[in-house]
Amino acid sequence: MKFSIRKKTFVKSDNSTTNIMYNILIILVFFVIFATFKNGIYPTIKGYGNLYTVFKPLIYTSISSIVCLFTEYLYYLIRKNKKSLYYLFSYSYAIIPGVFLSLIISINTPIWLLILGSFIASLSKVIMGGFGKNKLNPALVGALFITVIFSSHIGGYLNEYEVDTISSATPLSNMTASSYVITYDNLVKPYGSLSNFFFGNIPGSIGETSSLLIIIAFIYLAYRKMIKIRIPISYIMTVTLISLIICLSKDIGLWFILFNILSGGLLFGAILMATDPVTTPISTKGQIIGGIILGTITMYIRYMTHLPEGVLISILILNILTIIINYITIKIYNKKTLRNIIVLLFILSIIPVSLIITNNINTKPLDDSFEVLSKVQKGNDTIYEVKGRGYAGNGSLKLKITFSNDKVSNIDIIKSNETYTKDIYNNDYLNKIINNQDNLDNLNTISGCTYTSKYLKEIVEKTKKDYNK
Amino acid sequence: MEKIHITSSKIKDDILKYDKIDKIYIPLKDKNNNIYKKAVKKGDYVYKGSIVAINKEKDLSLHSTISGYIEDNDVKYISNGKECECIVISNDYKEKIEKNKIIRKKKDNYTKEDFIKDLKNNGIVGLGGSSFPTYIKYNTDNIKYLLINAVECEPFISCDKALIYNNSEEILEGIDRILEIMNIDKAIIVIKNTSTKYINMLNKYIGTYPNISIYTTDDIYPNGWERLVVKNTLGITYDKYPSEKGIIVSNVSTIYSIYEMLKSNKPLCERVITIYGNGIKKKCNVKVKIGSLASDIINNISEYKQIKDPLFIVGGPMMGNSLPSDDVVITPDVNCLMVISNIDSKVLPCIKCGKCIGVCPSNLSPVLIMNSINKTNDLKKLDVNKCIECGLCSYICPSKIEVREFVRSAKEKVNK
Repeated sequence: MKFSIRKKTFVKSDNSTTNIMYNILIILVFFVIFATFKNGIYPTIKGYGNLYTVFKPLIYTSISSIVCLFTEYLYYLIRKNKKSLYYLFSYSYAIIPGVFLSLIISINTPIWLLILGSFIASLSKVIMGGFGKNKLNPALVGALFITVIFSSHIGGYLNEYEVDTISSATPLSNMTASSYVITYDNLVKPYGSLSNFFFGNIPGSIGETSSLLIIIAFIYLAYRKMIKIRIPISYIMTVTLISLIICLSKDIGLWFILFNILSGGLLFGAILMATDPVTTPISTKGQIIGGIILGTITMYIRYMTHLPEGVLISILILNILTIIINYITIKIYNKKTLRNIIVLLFILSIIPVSLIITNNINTKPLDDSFEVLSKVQKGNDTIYEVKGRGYAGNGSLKLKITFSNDKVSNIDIIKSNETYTKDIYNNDYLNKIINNQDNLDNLNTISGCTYTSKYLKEIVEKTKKDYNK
Repeated sequence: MEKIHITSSKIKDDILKYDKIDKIYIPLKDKNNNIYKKAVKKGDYVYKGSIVAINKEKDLSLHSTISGYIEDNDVKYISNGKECECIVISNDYKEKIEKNKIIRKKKDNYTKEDFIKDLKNNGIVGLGGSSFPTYIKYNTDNIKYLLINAVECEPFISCDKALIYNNSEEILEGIDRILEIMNIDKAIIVIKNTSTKYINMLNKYIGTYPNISIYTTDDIYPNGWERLVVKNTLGITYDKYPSEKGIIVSNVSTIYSIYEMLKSNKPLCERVITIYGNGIKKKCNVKVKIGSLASDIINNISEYKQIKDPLFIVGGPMMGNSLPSDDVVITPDVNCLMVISNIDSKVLPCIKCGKCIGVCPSNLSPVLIMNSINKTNDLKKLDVNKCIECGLCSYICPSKIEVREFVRSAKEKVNK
């Protein structure tokens, strides 16, 4: 009797790539549901939304998924290697980058930017060879592209209802803006308490704020052995250790550790994006190295630079370093040497980074540095020259404020070190301040230059106080 | 290391017998590519157990398993899937044994040297799958432990278990004899903790043998691998052979053939094999003559079932080879014949999940080996020769990539 020949094992495990990817997709659906609740239903209950707001997260997810799917379809069509949409959906998992992207951007992103971001994300994937061969996480490439290049077009991370209750943007941008003042009052108080960080009721990207949901997803994925659990564990451990060293050396409460883990989408990045199998280190030791690199880079970016997206950038850097890490694991196959490298890397990265950060942060609130430079009386008018704090630091704003008949009649910016001074003029914000001078609290800040507008209001308020004395 | 348990269904414990064959075939090459030189001519009469071919370099020999006349050579498949020239012996159904072999010194005087010599003359080799000559294995001094490997970790294979079920008393007696001859203090039977029925069979008789104990190991593939048997049981790791640390590991089938040799002067001429698969009408364990053809056995004992796209597999589902024909000679390393329908699952790109690294019992990195398949220098660094081809990397792969075949070809490249 004749038989055909197959070179293989004749029993196979139940594992399947499709299964893993669909599981991740289903988990992401829960995040979309959460996003709908947080950004859609909740604002509507509060009276800030309409039907469009309710479905906005869902619309965003659908748009970016469809754009990703069609980008891949068109790419293969142009390359004369036509693949059916069904094939791209089931075996190239084309929509997953789109779903991820729609969850990690701001709710105020305009739709044309979302389409552009999804296009870039999907293109970065197919150009590098498609599913399984891409070197960078596509969703992160898209997100980085739109948040860095088009940052002025994204109107901050605040929902409409949050603009009123919370004066500043996300916890981390708030910290950067306040010149790295690490106090509970400054970092956590504006958002309620740490439990809000845990349940996700804080400003942030569309779907990544709920730590609770992410932890549930982690437990599920780890139980099903579907992700590389070493990366998030060593990532979070590294962040914890660095925070702990800072806590101890600066005498900050241990809430700071939780703040670092629960804010800035770190958990979402660590558990769902840094564990993307394709773009992260393969070997177990390499995964631990990867986690350490992620942790140190994230903390460095958060406390040493003005870049907003610490987690996003650090994961992309890890994606690039993965090539080197995999190369090293082949060249130095000896297990003991690799272990020593891990220990060395651990010591060489964590301690210096914590020390550098310790030097850069403050634990006491900065002086407000509001100062009246001159006060001149001219007939009915009183002309003030005042200096105050702006986004760029103390004394970066110098204003000339004229009072006539006990009312602010004119405001001039004499000197400004702010980046977005232009937006103030473009929005005619100075006149808005004059018109609303009795009710400055209710005057909305300008999205895109939240801080400058906020500090302007503060300075005017303080000058008014001085005048009324 | 991730632990892998592969579920397997059971078949009856009876051992059928099939020995009415006209011709036996003795391949002049074994699966390790040792080449043998024919030591007989056409028309010669050979006895059961007499040498028909030898390999002088390694001092190996092949033995006839029946008595009869030598015929013209024929070409048949062997277990590794290659075609090979075979010596053909026609059976005269007399089962004659050479006279000088029957003369045995008195039992009291039977020394280790006699034992080694008998093992060699009777052609006893390891029946666990390695075909390693047993006389070389036992020709070492200062042995502290004799481990009897009854783990049989590959799914669906049950020939060793069936042997324990039917012959537990004989096996224990055999172990005891070996301990006495070799002057070893302790023997440990290593068996899966899930095979309660067989442990009970052994426990029935083990009371009278204080030197023999039973160690149960987890039902995890590939716990039957010699290295893991030694490591799990005694916590000892070794470099090349377990004898370095004073340990001998023998398969339970080998022990049974040694027992038959000691008890009734029987050379190695039979073994139990499992016949399994959805393309088989009667799944069973059957005792067959070494050198018989698989097609004869299946046609006479089990019969084929009509299935779509059948595959013929020699060996277990994990480590076995798929062969183009059932014209296969049963050599001592064959423990299983399977006929199953072929299921080709869709192969997706590698997602670099690292699962194959997690399961590899030799601590290799199959995915890295696969990615650097064209760089021989890197392959050397990745220790490809440590691979035991257990197939767990192919088993676990979520993208259904046949990772082991890459590692196999990497091994070939490095050894070239």
